[in-house]
Amino acid sequence: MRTSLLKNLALFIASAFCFLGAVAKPSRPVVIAVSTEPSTLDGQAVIDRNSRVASGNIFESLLDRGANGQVIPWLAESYKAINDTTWRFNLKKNVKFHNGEPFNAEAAAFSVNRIVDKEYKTQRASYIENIKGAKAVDENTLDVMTDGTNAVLPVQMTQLVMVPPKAAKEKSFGVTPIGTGPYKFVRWERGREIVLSVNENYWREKPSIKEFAVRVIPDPQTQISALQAGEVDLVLDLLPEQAKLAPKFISVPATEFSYIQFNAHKKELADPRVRIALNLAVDKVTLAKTIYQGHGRPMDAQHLDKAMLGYNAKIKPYAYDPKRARELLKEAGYPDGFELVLHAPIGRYLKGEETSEFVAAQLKEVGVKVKIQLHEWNAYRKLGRIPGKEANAFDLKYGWNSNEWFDASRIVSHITCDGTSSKLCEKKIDELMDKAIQTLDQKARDQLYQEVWATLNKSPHAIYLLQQNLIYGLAKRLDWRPRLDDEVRVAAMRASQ
Amino acid sequence: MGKWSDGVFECWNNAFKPQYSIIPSLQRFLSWSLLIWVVYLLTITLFALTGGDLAPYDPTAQQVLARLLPPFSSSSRGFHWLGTDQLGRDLLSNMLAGARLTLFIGLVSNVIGMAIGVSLGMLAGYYGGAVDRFVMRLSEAQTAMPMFLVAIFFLTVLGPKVLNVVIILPTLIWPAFARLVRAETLRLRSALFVEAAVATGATDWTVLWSNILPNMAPRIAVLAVIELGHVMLAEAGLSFLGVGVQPPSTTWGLLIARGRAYLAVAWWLAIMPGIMLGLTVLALNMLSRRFAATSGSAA
Amino acid sequence: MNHSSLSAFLLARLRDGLLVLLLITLVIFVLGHMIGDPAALMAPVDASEQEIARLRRQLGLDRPFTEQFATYFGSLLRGDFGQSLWQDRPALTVVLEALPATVLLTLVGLVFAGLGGSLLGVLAGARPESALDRCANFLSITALSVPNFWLGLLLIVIFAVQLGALPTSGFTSWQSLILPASALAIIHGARVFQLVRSATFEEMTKPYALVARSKGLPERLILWKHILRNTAVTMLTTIGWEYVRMMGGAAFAIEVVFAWPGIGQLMIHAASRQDFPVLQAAVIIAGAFVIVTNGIVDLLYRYLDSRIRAA
Repeated sequence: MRTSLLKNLALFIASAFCFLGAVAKPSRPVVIAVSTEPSTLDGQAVIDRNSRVASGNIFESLLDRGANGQVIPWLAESYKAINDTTWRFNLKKNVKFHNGEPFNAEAAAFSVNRIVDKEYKTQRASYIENIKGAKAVDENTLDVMTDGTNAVLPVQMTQLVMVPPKAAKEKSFGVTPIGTGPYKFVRWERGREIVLSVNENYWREKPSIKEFAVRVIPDPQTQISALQAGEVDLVLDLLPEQAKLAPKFISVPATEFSYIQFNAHKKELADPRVRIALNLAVDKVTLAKTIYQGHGRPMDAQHLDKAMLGYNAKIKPYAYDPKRARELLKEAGYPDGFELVLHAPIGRYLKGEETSEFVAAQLKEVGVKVKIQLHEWNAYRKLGRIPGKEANAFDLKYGWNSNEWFDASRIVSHITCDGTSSKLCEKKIDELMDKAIQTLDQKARDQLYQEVWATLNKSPHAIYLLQQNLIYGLAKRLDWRPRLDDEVRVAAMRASQ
Repeated sequence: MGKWSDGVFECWNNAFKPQYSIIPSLQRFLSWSLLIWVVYLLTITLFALTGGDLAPYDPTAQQVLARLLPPFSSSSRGFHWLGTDQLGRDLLSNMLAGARLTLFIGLVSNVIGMAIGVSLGMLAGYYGGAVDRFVMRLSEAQTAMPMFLVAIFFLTVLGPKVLNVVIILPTLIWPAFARLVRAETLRLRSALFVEAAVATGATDWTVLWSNILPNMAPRIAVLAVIELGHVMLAEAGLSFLGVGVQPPSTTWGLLIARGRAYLAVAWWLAIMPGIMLGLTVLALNMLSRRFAATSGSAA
Repeated sequence: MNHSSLSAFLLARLRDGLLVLLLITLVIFVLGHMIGDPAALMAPVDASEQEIARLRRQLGLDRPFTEQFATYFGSLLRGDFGQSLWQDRPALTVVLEALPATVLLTLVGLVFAGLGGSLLGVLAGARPESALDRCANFLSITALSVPNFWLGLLLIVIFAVQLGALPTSGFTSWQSLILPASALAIIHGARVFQLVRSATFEEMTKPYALVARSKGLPERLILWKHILRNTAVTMLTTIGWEYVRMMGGAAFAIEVVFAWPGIGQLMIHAASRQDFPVLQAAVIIAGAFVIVTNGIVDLLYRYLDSRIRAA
């Protein structure tokens, strides 16, 4: 009798607690504001940040980036190159996709082959260059084959997400994504928000935030006022002027480098002295201080952060020296300057139009008259690919270069003679880049790339502007340190209520 | 050639007929309150004609260390009545420079729309029948269409250029002219002096041009002033939405759009150009009302 | 109006409405297909010439114009407005999702415009040249002289930025509705005010009103009963016309300013991405709305007019 009474009492107390727990106010889901709605949630298809805020928490890759930006094992426990064109990955066991499909070498091989397939439309095309395909060696071992030596394969694998073979074949995969990540997709209210909730069977430590939403708020004013009102918890890409309006903000140097690319095939820009002169003519310190309100710093005349492979510590930003600029122009045979057209995209890069106007005014001071032409994004991209020698190629083009590979080879298409976006042709650079591609020795590559940038310093391919910051606005209750790459991983966040 | 010059002469003569003599109208028209509006419009026109030369500073002169200054502040360059923008450019100078393109587009579109509307209206009212039905149907159909949206679509497809803006804006206003002119033409068609002209063998063209048109001129003028305001607001809307005039050209609508991003920290950038535009259209509206009242026609 | 003439009228309006819709579709089609190269615009950036040519054949762009239009119109009738280039979903779905937000905003704005404008119009028209009349008249002319999007920005600056009382933009709660609806109400209400005022004034000078006043009946009775009934026609039809104006484009600039997730904002986003199917669908749907409202207003006008005359 006694035992059953005790048992009943225990049961009653336990259920009372459960009841209280259920009735107790569940914490409000965390809301992240993005400015454009993703077009699809297929993690292999999109590259833009707004889409990755959602898909980056649903999907995972074989490798990931650690706290200092170095490549770390993730879904793969270890990897190594077994020959010049093959890399072997040993996969983690007992991981499942959100729909129960097992994550194994077959799924991994499927994922790799899906994204490299020419028929598959992805914005990540430049990230999968030189990857030929993959095959499963056994249940948990995967071989990835590359096109020739590919020293950046590990980096590329951090960007190649794993998808479940059965579900990914469905047409609806882009609207009902399934991955291995800490969060699974719940619903997508078009034009409003995407809701994700925690993956109960996550193979790593379960995140503390149980549910979050990615809300589409296109207008920056709305974003900041929603943040102030407590309706959203995180805003990406605050305007510098808005930073102080946020309850909390964190400004971190990003892997984004703003620049104005030269078309070195144009008559006036062929002479390296002219290009150096134009670099000397722009006051980057003031640019960072005023237009970006300190949220950015002049880059060390290379599209690299000191954490990146190939960074040359000896190179410093060009000084602001308009007098020397004018001297160099005179030496090169342009005492009266000349005229150029600067092309920029509309609404794509933070303060891009303003920066273009600022630079134009500064170049005018040294005699170079610059006319600004703004383009819609697609037209701008098309313009960038017109070979430099053609008549309708651009003179100057403003843009941002992101280096999420943390590797100097990322810029290859901009500086080699045959690069698709390149408007420069220096034999020495091509030689160095070729050598670097042939080897898998990271130290040797580092040296070679350092030399590339030293060479570029004497014959710059662009006006090197700033390493831009990313400014995040946070609600008071959110606790989060942004990563060195710009991934927004909710699993790393904590909300205090 | 002779008939044509006759027509012009007739028109000139008619302009001074007592039916709507200008001088007494002018006297009744100009009162103190209206003087302000007239002076304001003349000032804006002056700035538009000189294209920003009379502005206190070069509109494009940047001074990034003096950016986003509020109105009535000073920088190392001097005093800024309306403050500076995100690159330190003087706002007042930019507004005055923007007057030129804004007024230009407004006037040209207005004249084109007026020409189309008046011609079609006259034809409809004078000839009646199939012509009338066609014109009226067309005008009704257009009123039933979301013309502003069609304009957005048009400009998206053909590209946001000043030329395209000037092509599409008249389509927004011609029905108003057509309706007025048609009603007036119908009314005047049966007037005695017109019948007299027809009886004396004047051609349709002469009747329309030198008899009917001059009598409608005051009312058309009143409507033209009102529609000028409408067209300017429409252009501002299109430029604000990004499908109208593009930078580096300036119009008041574009200035409002440029200032919008800084609304929370520098409200004057978006608000001031709107005030200038609003005052201009208001001046036009006030003048048109007064003119309508004194020339004895309903507004 | 007797039944046969009513149904004849309805049929005529229906026919006219459909013709206008056809006209809109034709205009949109012509603009979208014949000018510029849709294949080049729709192809991905890196597409080669052969890929663009293949796309052109796929889209049937090498067929004669009438055939293309017939195919297009046919698919419209089936509800197929094409696929959104940006969202990879049917364009019609994208537009219809955005429609409710626009309808909500415009209706709320319309209600306040109608109520405020009518009330003030009647009061002002009944007391011409009074302080109220002159003040309200001037304010209404001013409201009609400023760009509507600027008025929206001004409201944001005053109420959302400086006073912090209301959200600056977006559709997050019912309070988000206040500022954009107010912007619409002020401007469209101003026009309602103008017309109701002059209609009221006209009624006040009519013999029956003067007679009633001379007989010493309390003014309020006159106003409310007779004047209201006679100006009701003007009120309702003006309100109807203002709705046509709103859906014809005026409300869309307000939507953009307030980042309101309706058709206006959708159009601008689609325009910046060159998503023609969505743009076309938006204009045609909005056009259909305008035509239907037009028809209803017309019908209402004739119905009320005949009723008033009969009374």
